[in-house]
Amino acid sequence: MAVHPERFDHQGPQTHSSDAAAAASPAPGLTLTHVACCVCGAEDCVPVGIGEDFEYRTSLDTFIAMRCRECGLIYLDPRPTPTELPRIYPPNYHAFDFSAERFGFVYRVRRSLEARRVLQWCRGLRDDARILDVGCGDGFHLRLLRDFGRPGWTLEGVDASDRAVDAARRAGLTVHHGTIEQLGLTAASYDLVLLIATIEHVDDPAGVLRAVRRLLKPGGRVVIVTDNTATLDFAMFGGRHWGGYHFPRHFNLFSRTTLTRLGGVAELDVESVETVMSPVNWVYSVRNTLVDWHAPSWIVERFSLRSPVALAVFTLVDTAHQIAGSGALLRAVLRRPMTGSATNGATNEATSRAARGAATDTPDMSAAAASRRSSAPQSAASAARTLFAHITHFATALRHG
Amino acid sequence: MAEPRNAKPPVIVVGAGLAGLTAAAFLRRRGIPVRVCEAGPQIAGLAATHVDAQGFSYDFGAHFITNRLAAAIGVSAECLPISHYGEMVRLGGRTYGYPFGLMRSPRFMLSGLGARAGQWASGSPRSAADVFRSRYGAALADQVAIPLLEAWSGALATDLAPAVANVLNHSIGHTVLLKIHSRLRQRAVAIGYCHELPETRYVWHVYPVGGVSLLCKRLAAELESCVDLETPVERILVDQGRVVGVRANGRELPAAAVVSTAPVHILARMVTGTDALRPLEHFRYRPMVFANLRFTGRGHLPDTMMWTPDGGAPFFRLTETPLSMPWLAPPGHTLITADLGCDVGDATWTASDEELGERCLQHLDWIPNIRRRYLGCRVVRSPVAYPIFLNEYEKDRQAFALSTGVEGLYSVGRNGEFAHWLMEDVYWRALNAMRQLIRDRVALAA
Repeated sequence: MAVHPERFDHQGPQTHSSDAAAAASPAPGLTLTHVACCVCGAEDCVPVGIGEDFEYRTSLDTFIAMRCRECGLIYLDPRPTPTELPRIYPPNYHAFDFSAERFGFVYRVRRSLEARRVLQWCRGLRDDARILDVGCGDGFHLRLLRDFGRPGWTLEGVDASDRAVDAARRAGLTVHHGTIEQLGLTAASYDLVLLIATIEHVDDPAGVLRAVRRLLKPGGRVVIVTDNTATLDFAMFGGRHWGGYHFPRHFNLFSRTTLTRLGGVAELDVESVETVMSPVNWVYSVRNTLVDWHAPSWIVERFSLRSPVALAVFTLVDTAHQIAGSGALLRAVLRRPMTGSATNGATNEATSRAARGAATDTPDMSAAAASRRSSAPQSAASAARTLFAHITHFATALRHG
Repeated sequence: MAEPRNAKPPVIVVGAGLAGLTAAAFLRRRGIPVRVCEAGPQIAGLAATHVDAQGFSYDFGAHFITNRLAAAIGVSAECLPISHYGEMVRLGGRTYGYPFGLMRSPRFMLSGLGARAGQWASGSPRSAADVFRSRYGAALADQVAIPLLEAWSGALATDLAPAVANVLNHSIGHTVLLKIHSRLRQRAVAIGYCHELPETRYVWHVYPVGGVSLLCKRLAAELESCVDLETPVERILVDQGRVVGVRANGRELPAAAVVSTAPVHILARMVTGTDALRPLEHFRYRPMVFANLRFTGRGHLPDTMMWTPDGGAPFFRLTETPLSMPWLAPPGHTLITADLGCDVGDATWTASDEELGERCLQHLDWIPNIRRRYLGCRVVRSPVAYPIFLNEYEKDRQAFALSTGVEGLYSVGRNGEFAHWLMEDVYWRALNAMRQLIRDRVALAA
């Protein structure tokens, strides 16, 4: 209080300062930093969720998910500084080793589902296309492309974690260690960039997308898959336990609106933003609730990436939401605009064909697209087809398992 | 204060308490040059913590913060959760749970129900007394709410503005839900500790291990060299309705804007070059003496906080903080903080620590063996503990709540806003005020 001391004097007793007590114990928390909204730049936000690292317990901190009052983005503020990344991504982090050995049946189901999805995005690519997976983790999607894609494709990954890079390289993949902004990869050389469950982890999504834009050939596309905040699971669990928060590792969480706006910020054309069925956030929302309530571990373990029953149940639940146009994940297809110095016509045609394919061909996407186009309830026949497609995936995976 | 001569003048923040440091840190994050002028030799203001040689820790009155505030400032990992917090009322030698225990008494229940039923018929209230009587009924208002209000404010409830009563904003249903959740979770879910944001079942009390002053230390760490201690601001200079600078330690400093956390009657006297703040000179604060009585044993009060509306005792509230925060007293010991309203210079204000301890002890004789367990008393005094909402300046107060009336002058914090905000409110409201400051600057530049 900066007024005359004689006029304004809090008279306390002569005591020790509490500095001694504070200095005696080293800070058990992460070093945190404050940020503004990465989409609109505003720093006008309100808390919507408050939680902890329920999954890995990497620190004792409590975290706040803020909602930007300007654009609606959900973001972590304050958030760990870059120096804390090794701490918040522990050695047992699942993306570093999503292997058949560790995840068994679930691995096979996911592999089957994801192979189908990933190939949809690649439809129309030339035989010599270059594909970059940013935030590739242990290379799960790159392996799918290698195993099921065309032999002429050049596949590369980028990841900032040395553990993830090691795992991917052990699988024989080409992976660059670092961040896409710093690596200095060749500009305008990629036909397709994948950002699968990556954009929510990065500190500066607009910066990453601008870097992606630079790497893409004119007309080349980027496919972003990320958690969707405009969902029932967010509405139900968003106060604390929502799986998509993944405290403190998901820095920015999007809706259709904010992801579209982010594309604009990075000067990418938005071809489509659709929702995709996923049981994962549901399963982890329930799990986080159980962990927080100190439920016995045998119950908690029924809800994880290794529990086929929970995943199957919530696949059905989220399929219903997907049919209603609010699946748990978002998938955006953005395109680097054509410029005067465009590449040859064949590439352009191929990419635009691929874009059309990606926007209309997958069953989950066609449902969302249909409901968006007409704003009318989807026909029962179409809904049944979508549900059937997902059940078939499970059945197939079970058989092959 | 070695700013280059041609540099853009900084925003000057008056006071390094929670509000001032929050405001300064926010501006600094936005790249706005800022200087904090603190009159005293240390930061934290009313959010300071005292730890004595015996290991007892106490604040300016008992403070409770929330996990949300701790997380926002980034000190949550250094806080411990509180599993229980409860309030009681001691009335006529009996102890009632608050608020629902009181309702078990038929006369309070009937008076409360009667008041609810007749609420539609009552006209617009002219004073805090009117509000309490129409809301709780005569019995509860006259025996509990009004005596507490008067002991707390030092003014008659009939002289206080109806706005005083606005602090209780929860529905009964919501309170019950939060209490149930609190019991099930073994977490002291915050009820009535934040008005600025919704209180949910996930917002509960926590407390920093080293005392509540940790909040300010963390904010000050972010400000590095921007805080000037022992730099009292003597004048805030206004020219043509706009803040142009301050005079601190006898030197004039240009300022892009001034953010004051000073009590408003002092602010009014600091501002020169305008009459806009003249009405604030008459605003009054209630001085408060907090007597921290130390005892052996623990659990002398039936719950963490006890309201004592019966006349006779020098205090109106007792808080045994170690019941919620066991680490605030050494093992096997406890601390009871008694809140005594007073006036600067009166017998309570000038009494020695031991005199005050003795005076409080005389009214605690209903606690078994209390005198035998007594270890002494430490007193903390604040001349500006709570704003008093007198009807005589209520119109001016409402106008001031909208704006200081001076371009580039912002007043934040509990004393700066002259409002009954709690710690978390102070934080979020200071941020909002700084957002407004930035918007105003942008508008001005355009």
